[in-house]
Amino acid sequence: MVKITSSDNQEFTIAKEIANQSVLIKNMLEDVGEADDQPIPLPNVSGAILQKVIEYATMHKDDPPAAPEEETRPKSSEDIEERDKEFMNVDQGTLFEVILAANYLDMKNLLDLGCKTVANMIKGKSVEEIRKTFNIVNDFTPEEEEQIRKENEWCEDR
Amino acid sequence: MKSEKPTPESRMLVTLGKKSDSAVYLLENNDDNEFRDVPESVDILSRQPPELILKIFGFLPADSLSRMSQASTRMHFLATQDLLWKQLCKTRWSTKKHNPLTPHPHVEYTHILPNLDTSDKLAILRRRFIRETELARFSDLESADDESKIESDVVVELNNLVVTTTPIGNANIRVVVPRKCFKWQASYIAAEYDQSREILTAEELHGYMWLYQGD
Repeated sequence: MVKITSSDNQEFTIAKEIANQSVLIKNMLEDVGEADDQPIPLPNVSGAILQKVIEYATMHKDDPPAAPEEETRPKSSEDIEERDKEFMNVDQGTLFEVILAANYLDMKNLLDLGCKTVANMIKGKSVEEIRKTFNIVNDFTPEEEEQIRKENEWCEDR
Repeated sequence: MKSEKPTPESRMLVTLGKKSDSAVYLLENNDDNEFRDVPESVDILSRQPPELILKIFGFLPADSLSRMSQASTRMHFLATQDLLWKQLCKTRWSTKKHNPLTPHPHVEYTHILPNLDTSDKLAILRRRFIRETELARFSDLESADDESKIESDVVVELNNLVVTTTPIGNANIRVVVPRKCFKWQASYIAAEYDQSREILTAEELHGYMWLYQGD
């Protein structure tokens, strides 16, 4: 078993095969050696988010290693498993915190899942709908906006 | 978790790693200071580190990326990055025989010449059916590893050729004139327009290699 502590000092004890899904923790464990009983501090991740990350790692502990990506195949955000969709059904604040945690903990699958989830929130939306989804403030001058609209009209007039 | 403030250029260079065209471009075109001032009050997506936003954008198809780029100046800055568009060109054109992965000939490059290197320029000229004999004088340019050492008048000559051979005025070709985007996005758009064209130009008719296949 491996002990980890969050930024707000919550301690979690998890199985090694779950901890090893984080390349960061895996490398740390290899560096300190087996015998060490000290908890690993993760000062960049809160307890609530760490809980969520552990939930994901537990769900995926039996996954086969990922196949290498093909360069000429478009990166798709459609290939999300149903259980992962469910897992990512959270508010935007949590979603981005999970993504940042996955990035910090070096968990590629979770990072990809988070990024695909955000991508799917963008896809199929008009410019105005995108702004609304993320509360993005339009800060273009009218001239700039017109220039950029013209440049991008290729995807509208087809 | 503390969200890190997206910080300056140095970070981009480190994260994007290799000195690819787009990474360098990211730095060179950072004169609007989009990266320096991100007030706390901005929306949650815009607050994320740039390399993460770029990773998210990497999962978007071209039309979504185009719409994203129209949302705000910061989103525009990120969604027009050439490394994203080069990847889109790569996947989109991978099955198209007459569309190699070089900047498209139907773009007016006048205002984004610094975004092109010598091999880009030569590829564009070849795809505009300029004869090899005419391009031979630039061969030194292509093999030189340090472009700054080259006599500037040869560079000017090459640039002029790229500008003057733009197929503007040809009624059959829709030329893309980049206003706020760079070479790969402009090329992507040019290829999309070109795809619906039904008439070959005389140059193309002469320039293409024709293979006769009988059953």
